Amino acid sequence: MQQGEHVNLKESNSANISSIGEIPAMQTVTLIPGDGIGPEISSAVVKIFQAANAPVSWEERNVTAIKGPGGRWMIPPDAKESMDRSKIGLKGPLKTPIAAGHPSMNLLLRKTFDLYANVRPCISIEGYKTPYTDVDLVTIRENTEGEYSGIEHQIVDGVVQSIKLITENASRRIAEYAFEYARNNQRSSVTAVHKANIMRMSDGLFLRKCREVAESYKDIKFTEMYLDTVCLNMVQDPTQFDVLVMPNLYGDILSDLCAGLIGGLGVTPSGNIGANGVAIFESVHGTAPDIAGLDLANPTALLLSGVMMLRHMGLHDHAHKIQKACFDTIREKKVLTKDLGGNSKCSEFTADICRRVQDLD
Amino acid sequence: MYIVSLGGPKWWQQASRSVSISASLSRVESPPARADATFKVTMLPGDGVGPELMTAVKDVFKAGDVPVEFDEFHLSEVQNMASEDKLEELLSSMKNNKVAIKGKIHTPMEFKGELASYEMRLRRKLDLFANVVHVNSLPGYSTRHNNLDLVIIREQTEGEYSSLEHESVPGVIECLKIITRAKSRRIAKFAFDYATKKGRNKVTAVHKANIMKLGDGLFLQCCAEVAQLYPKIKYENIIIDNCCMQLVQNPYQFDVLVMPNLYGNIIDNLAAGLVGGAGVVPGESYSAEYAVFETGARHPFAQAVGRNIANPTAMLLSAANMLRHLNLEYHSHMVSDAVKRVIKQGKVRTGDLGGYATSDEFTQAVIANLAV
Repeated sequence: MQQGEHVNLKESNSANISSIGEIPAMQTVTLIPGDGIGPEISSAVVKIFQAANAPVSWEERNVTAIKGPGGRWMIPPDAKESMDRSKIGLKGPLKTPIAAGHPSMNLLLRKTFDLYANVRPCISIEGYKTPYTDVDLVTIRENTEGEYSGIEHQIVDGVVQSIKLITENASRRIAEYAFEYARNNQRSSVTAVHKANIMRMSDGLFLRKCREVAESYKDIKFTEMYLDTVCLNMVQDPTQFDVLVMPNLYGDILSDLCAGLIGGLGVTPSGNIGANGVAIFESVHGTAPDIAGLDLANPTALLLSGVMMLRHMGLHDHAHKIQKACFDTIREKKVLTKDLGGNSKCSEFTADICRRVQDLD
Repeated sequence: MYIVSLGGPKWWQQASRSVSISASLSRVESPPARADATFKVTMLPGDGVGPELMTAVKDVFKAGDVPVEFDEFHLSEVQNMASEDKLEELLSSMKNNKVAIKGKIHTPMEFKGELASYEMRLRRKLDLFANVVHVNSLPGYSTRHNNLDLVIIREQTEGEYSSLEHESVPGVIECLKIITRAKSRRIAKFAFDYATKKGRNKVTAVHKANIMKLGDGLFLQCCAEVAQLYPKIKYENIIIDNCCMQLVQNPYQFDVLVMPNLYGNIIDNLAAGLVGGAGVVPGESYSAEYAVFETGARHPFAQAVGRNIANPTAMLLSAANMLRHLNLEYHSHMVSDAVKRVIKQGKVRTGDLGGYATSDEFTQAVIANLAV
């Protein structure tokens, strides 16, 4: 029972890579540099991919919201067309306008491409010490409904009601994605995180769907755990977790918690999977306007998201090379950007990784 | 801290009413001592390891000659020992004694008719709106973050735990999260009063108002309004996901945290994990009239039942807090010092702290260490 083209996408992209010895076909990726430090880290990533000879051709697009016919805000049509064609995107940080009148860009992208799954693998980086070592888990978060449905109203003065929406289809879809991901990435277990003892109907439905889907994936171990128990155990021993799947709010909190375990948003990759085979990989940190243009930014988060993208496209060799080069550079500690504890510039950091990648060939 | 109400807008009167809670925090709240000077306390062992932990408390109290008598009630949803009558008995006992010590009443995931569990209904009927968890690193037991000293104050009666859910059409379920101005103000006032009383410097409100603009926005607004009445206490706010990230990277930046229901659940457990787990952090719940003492991270821990491995530390420290609340300062110090001494010595520790002792052995060690 395969659901959604994204599952088949893996196979179809692997087919693009012809037999060993031949040069793989170039795949188009829509690149969205973003704002603030976005452009500099995007060009750093492009340089590194070039040094690794990754068969990726970039199409740069801008996604500033424009008002379409009928007065609804939408992303520029050329960006949409490019993404629909290439199906893969890499995005830098976008500025969230406070009073621009339109919703946040991330929300717009999510609605346009029905990005229903947010995937964040959290792996401890060897050269970047945190109190938590050996973290290796993936959080998969349902991204379209749940507590972030945005349906709120003031019933009477001083009483506000927010609605949390859980539907059968969305729960089934995210559960299936989680198990497929686990299978494709050789992960051994999937844990559903919920609060069905308190929200008995809504989280109960989510849990039931996860259990049903688990039946079709007998090779993957399925467990369920309360959200508070997960938090309690996560900060004591994060090695006990593998793949975690959960509704929107819990996912938001837990994915940031796990990012904190490995060192923060500056080193965490993230991917968003959509219903029509579209996948957008992004860095989740802010635009850092204070260091924009000064060649001080750290491209690690966007680079690791690019690595995630390569894995999604089936280009495992290139992904492995670039990741190894990046981790080696950080481990050596000779050329580190300021936020990682060093004094080097972004260009020096990038050059070091490029050199290592070429050496690895 | 006492507001002189000059007949201003209505909310001032409401705010000054809740001053009585802070006043009650500093005054003895228990009924007048009896002739034989024994205090009566309601005891609710609950499910899981609750009964074992309560036995530990009773043993320690007996050995220490603590003048407290327990009124025991066994209310349990999973063991089919719950009914409306039992709940009524329990409530009337509470009305008499005003102070209780309890374990966790486990909520089964299947529900028969009512969505609210007994634990939630108890909280609502007694209006235990404030849950306070004091997260302190234990001397002698080091974790990744040492010397932590946080207070987490959580609104306990509304928010996401409204138990208002319905299935609009098959396959589509709505769950309502309710935030009211009155209760948000009440918990904010409680937090600032607590901070003032305990000499803390900063109160941080935790929220997700960038997404839930109306709901958490209202909570945040109330906190900001109350903060203006306390110029000596610094007020900040932080988004919940950033807060979790900061807690695992640099927890020392926080002092007192105040938040709605669900975030409180998450942060309570996270912070408990930072100092050693659910077995070491005590907690208490307050209403305007009652005080209930329990563990900070509330789990029945059913997999430990009968195996004698649960850690009584959290419950014993909470019992010591209860004694302080009853104004039995000497006995309170006696119990908490004994527990801390045993942990510091490090010879007798239960499994969750890396040792091999059983619950009984730990309790015996505490009894042996009671001030001679």
